[in-house]
Amino acid sequence: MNLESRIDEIRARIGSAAARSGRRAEDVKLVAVTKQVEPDVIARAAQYGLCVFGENYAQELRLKQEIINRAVSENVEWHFIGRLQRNKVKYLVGSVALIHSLDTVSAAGEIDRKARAAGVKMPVLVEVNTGGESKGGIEPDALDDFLLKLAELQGVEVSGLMTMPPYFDDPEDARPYFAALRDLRDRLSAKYPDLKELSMGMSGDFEVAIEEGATIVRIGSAIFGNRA
Amino acid sequence: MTQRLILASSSPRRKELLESVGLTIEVINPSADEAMLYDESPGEFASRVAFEKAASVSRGLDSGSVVIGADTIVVVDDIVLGKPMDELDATRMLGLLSGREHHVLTAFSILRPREELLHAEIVRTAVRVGELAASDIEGYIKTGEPMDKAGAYGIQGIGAFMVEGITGSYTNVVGLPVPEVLRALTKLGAVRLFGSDES
Repeated sequence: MNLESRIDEIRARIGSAAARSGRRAEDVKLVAVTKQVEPDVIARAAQYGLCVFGENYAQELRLKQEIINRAVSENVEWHFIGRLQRNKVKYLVGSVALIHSLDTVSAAGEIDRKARAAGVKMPVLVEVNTGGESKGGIEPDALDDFLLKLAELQGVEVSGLMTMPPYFDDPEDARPYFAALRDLRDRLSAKYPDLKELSMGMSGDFEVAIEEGATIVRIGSAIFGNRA
Repeated sequence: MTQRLILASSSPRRKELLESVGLTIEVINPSADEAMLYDESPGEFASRVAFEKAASVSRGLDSGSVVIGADTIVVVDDIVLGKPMDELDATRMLGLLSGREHHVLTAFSILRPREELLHAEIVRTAVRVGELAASDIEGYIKTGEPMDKAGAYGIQGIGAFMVEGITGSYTNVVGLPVPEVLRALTKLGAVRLFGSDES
């Protein structure tokens, strides 16, 4: 099956899952994860209408972004979805539309400095460790405190939450983790009204995540194949 | 019996390789979808493209013809490097190849008219590239040579500067594994190397 047919299929599955949660396909943003994907393939995806790409490494993101910008006329945006290191923040502010994985005060401070210096507000999601065994993410109990600290940073705009559940063969097993993230957002959104987005669900479990309220899904191998 | 030997490839290097061993060959430019399919391995990808190139040319030919299609890919960490999109992309690719080993795979297919497959084979060569200084990469790209080559280098040209060694077939890296192609064509009765007849 070629790339275009895969994209059609994934979009249809997103649409069906959105309908099952009483929403429309447009309510769910598809981030195509391009880790290990060559620029010529990304360009082809962009020409077919994919317009949001996610990368795990800051420098690789910048390089691919520059190559794609020159190659295609379509407007595309880039999201950073990998482990966020403070010393890589400088590559991201001003280049990416959204950072999905903020989970330290020091990285937040650096984003704030770089964003204010550039005269912008950097949209971020806070990564939450709903699974208990993930390497990154803020513990759910500590989320309110963390959000309070972020609220003081003028250069940082927290627009939602992200989580990465443990891997399961059966995507149904991930459902409680997605539901937990949605509950967290619902409980905290009275206090933090900008907290809207839920970035959750990947190639193996995005339909379950959408049923549980995902507004952003991060899909790589289901579109581009298992490259590595 | 004289058979028309047709190379379904727009690469001048493949034609030169076959001519260098004395074959008379016609070139017809092929068409193929050169994008990797979902869950296609690099080897499957190259084999399919080689077949599609030969098949696209074979459709319009008369029965006395034999068509060779080939596709060469550069593979590093299971990632397939195609031809660079621009100079920045070439810089990126050469950075990926610097100071390590990669593989060059050439798949070839031999067909008779109407897509009748006679032979398919894939040959793999390991290529070791030395550490490339940024200034070397920049200078090499300025020569223009990398821009139309898979993996952004040509071993038979200036790109020789970066190749420390290979394990396996050299002509395979250039674009067509000559001994394997000759062996297949000979077995099929399509050519006779050092033969007494006109081919």
